[in-house]
Formats: sequence, structure tokens, C-alpha cells
Amino acid sequence: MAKFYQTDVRILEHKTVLPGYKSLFFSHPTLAKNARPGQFLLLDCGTFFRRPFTISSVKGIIIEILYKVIGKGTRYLSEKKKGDWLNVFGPLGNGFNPSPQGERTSPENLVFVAGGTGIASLRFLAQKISVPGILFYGAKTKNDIIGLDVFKQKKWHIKISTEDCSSGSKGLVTDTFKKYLSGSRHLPSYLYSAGPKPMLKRISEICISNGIAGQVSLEEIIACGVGACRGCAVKTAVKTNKFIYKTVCKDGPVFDIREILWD
Amino acid sequence: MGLTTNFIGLKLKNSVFVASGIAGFGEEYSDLFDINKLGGFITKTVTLLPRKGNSLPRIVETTSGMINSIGLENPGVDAFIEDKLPFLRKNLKIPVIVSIGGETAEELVSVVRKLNGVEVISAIELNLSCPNIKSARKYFISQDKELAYKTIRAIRKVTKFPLIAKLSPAVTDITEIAQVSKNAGADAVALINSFPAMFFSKDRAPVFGGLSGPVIKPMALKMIYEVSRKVKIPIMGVGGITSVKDAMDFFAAGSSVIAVGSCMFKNPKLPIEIIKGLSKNGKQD
Repeated sequence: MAKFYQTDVRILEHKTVLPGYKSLFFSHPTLAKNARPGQFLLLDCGTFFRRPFTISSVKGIIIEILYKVIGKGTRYLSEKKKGDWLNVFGPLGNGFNPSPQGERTSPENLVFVAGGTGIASLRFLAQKISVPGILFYGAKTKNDIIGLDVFKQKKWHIKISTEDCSSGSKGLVTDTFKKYLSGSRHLPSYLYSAGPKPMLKRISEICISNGIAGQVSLEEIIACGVGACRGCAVKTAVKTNKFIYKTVCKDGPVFDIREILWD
Repeated sequence: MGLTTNFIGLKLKNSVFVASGIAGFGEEYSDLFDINKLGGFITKTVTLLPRKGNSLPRIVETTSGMINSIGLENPGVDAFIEDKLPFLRKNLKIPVIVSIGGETAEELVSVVRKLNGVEVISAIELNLSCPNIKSARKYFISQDKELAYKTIRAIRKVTKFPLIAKLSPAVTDITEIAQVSKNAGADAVALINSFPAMFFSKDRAPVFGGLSGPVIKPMALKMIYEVSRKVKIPIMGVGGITSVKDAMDFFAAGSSVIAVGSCMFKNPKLPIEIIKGLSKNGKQD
């Protein structure tokens, strides 16, 4: 496993990308070199627990965190300015693994499904993958659509769903995805997904029933970040019809869709 | 203060431990800092049989702390010896204290028998106060004077390891429990374990666990202070230590050594920072 660090970094840039959404940049050569898509950082947000943020891009030695301001921790973070210090701990967890099928040239083979800020980790993954695929992206409204730049540059096929119909299809991304599959002659062969748990559960079910393999990245409250405290447990399947608890922070946050036993 | 010290017969290069359950079985944080810089290492609590732990949610942030309801998830003592001890044996040059838990004295005795004679182990911490074990009893071993005495006595009879009794703060008079721990043969007490507490899950189901963090520090200090004045037994101080100043408070209250707990989640390098800070203070004194 890659080495992790706890260190103070200076914020290079901290900009509002949309009302309520911010992008934070800092540089750290070794952390940037080691970071893999799907891995996360625990940031000191003034709260008792650090807050986990997936890495949303790495360019050279610059690391970007794209996030939504939702609570006490992210509000504290959002008030930090360029030049302020930030204590980071990471990169933590196992990132996305390359698909066992390798990268197929046909864009219809590779599908990403993002819900909300789940787009952040998939954005970093898209940076690392040479071929484009299809991105299904669910957001509340058109004012919640972020992080598409990388996908556009790389000529991904983007399908937006918003809950209020302000952009793309109306409704949940899970429904849009399901409709796409039922109307498609060629099913994708591999999925990467990140977003809220109910969405990941539904997407996993849809993919398993259609014979699509893939990986999902879970969101969870994290205490230690290194698998020591066992606070962020997730039920996973073992062969003997039983289950074992794995940790989202160390064994995950990325899991094979067949591995997780959803509640 | 807080530098080279002798605690229950163990020679320590400093007085700073990491509390049980915080740093797992030693390997988890080894990427971040050299565990050998600590005074000693305390493992996560080990039980006779493997325990899967509680269902979710297991943790919640509170005002100035957290509640955990992990439920002593651990591989059991046999798997601990086979899978976890080799890392400690290979890498640790500091005393290793194994924390053990169980619902009955018999269970704890069985665990101790398996640990007896195992190299690399320097002492045993008896977790007599984990708020997360469901059992027929409604209280912990260390909430009942007689039961605490019988349990520690039974373990004392079967092992030569120094014993540290980790006590629950949820009692009327902590000094009485500390006294019977001493009478039964404990070499030290660890004060205090987390406070029994509860929170609600998202769907309003009650979750019972233990409250820790800075919020319990003032109560921990009071209990350490009272025990140190009434009972002649070395104390390991635990409970919300988040700075060098906190550590100094714990020594002033009567702790011989201290252990950093859940505040390490906010600052993983906290134990190392405290060791550095104490050594500076030592020079100034």
C-alpha cells in the first residue's frame, strides 16, 4: 500500500465553481505522485472528526479537492483563503482498480455513474483513463452540475439527469441509466460509480442483473482513516453465506459491486 | 516530566501510550510514524472468540468528542497470536500491552492462559469496562466491587504478567473500585474508559456506546485526582488528552503515564507531538 502523510500545506487557490461548490488547490510532490483515483484525504476542518474528501484531480504536483459546502466542517474549510495553511492526512484507502478487461477502445464499453459530489473522484479517474466512455450524472438541479471539464475535454458522452428537470432527463440518474440499458443494443461491460449509498445500491443491482461488472466508491463518516478504529464498517460477502465487516477507509472506499451486502 | 520512567516494572523511554482501540494492532499507523517512539503500545481489545462487532452506525461526532459503538470487533485471541503478534514481535522494541476483554472471569482467564509465556507481551490491560458488549448483565465488571475483585483475583492467580485494570467512570465512587483492583492484585489502573452514552441513528434507532474526547477530560482528571490521593496504585491517565498541556494536567492529577485516545483521530501525530513537547518541558524544568 502506498505511503500516507500528515502534513501542513498552503492553499494555492480556493475558488467558487458554483454557488455552494468550491475547488481547493494545494501542492505536495510526493502526495501527488502517490495519489490514485478513488483515494481520499482527511482534512482538519476544525471539527473533532476530520472530514474525508476524494481527490478530484492531480496535475503535476497540484492536487485539487472539489467539494460542496454542506455542514460545519465544509463551512470551516470554505472560509479558508489562498495562502492559509491546511492540515492534510492521506492519501488514504484503496482507489479504483483498472478494469480486469483492460481499456476497450469502444466508448460504449465503459460507463461511469456519478451522483452529486460523487463526480469528484470519477473526474480524477477520467483524467487517468485514455479512452472516453459514457458518463451518467445525476444532480439535484442544473445549479449542482460540476466537474464536467475533464469529461468534455476527453470527449465523453455525457448524460445528465436532474431531479427538477432543469437540465437533461428528469428524475434520478438510476432511472436514466436503466432506461439507457433497456434501449441499448450494446451493453457496457464495465462500471465505475460514486455517489450516495442508495444510488450505489440501485446501480449495483442494475449492473449485476445485466451482467455488467464494476466498482463503486462509498461515502462514510471516517474517524481514524487507516482501518484501526473499525468505525466505518461495511458488510461484505464471503463465500460461506456469511459476511465480514470491512472498513470503508482502508479496504475501500472502492469495492467491487458484488462484494457489498447492502442493507 | 514525562520522560524515562518505570511503570509496573516496565522500563519506558517516555510516559506516553496510545489507548487501546485507537491504533489497532500496531501496523495501521506504522506508515505515518515510528511506533517505537511511544512509551509503550496497547493493542485493541482481544477476546476469547472472534467478534464481528456491532451493526452500523458505529460512530458519531458529538460536541467536543465522539461516541463509539464498535462492539469490540476483533479476530479473537488465537488469530491475534497467529496473525497480529508477528508484526509486533518483528517491529516493536517498546513494551507491548495486550488489552483483553470478556463477559466473565472464566473467559478472561482463558484468554490470559493463551497469552501466558508469549514473548513480546510485557503486560495485560483488563478491559473491565467496555460499554459495547451486550451481555446478560446490565453493568460492566468494573461497576461491581465484588465482581471486579473476583475477576482480577482469578486472573492474578494464573499469570505473572503485570495487570492494568481499565475502569469504567460510570460508578458512584471510583476510588472504591481502584482499591479493590489493587487488593485483588492489579499492578495499575487505567482511568478512565469512555462514558456510557447513546445517540440516534438516522432513522431514530437508539445506539448505545461510549463517549470519549475532550468532553470527558475534566471528569477523567477528577477521578484520577481522587484515586491518586486515596489509593496507592500507579495510574495510567486516559480521557480527552489533546495537547501537551492536557498531558501535564494528567500528570499533575496523579497519572504515572498517559494514553492518547480518540483525539488522535483529529491529529494522528498527536502522541509524537506530546512526547516532543514533554521532552522540551523536561529540559526547561
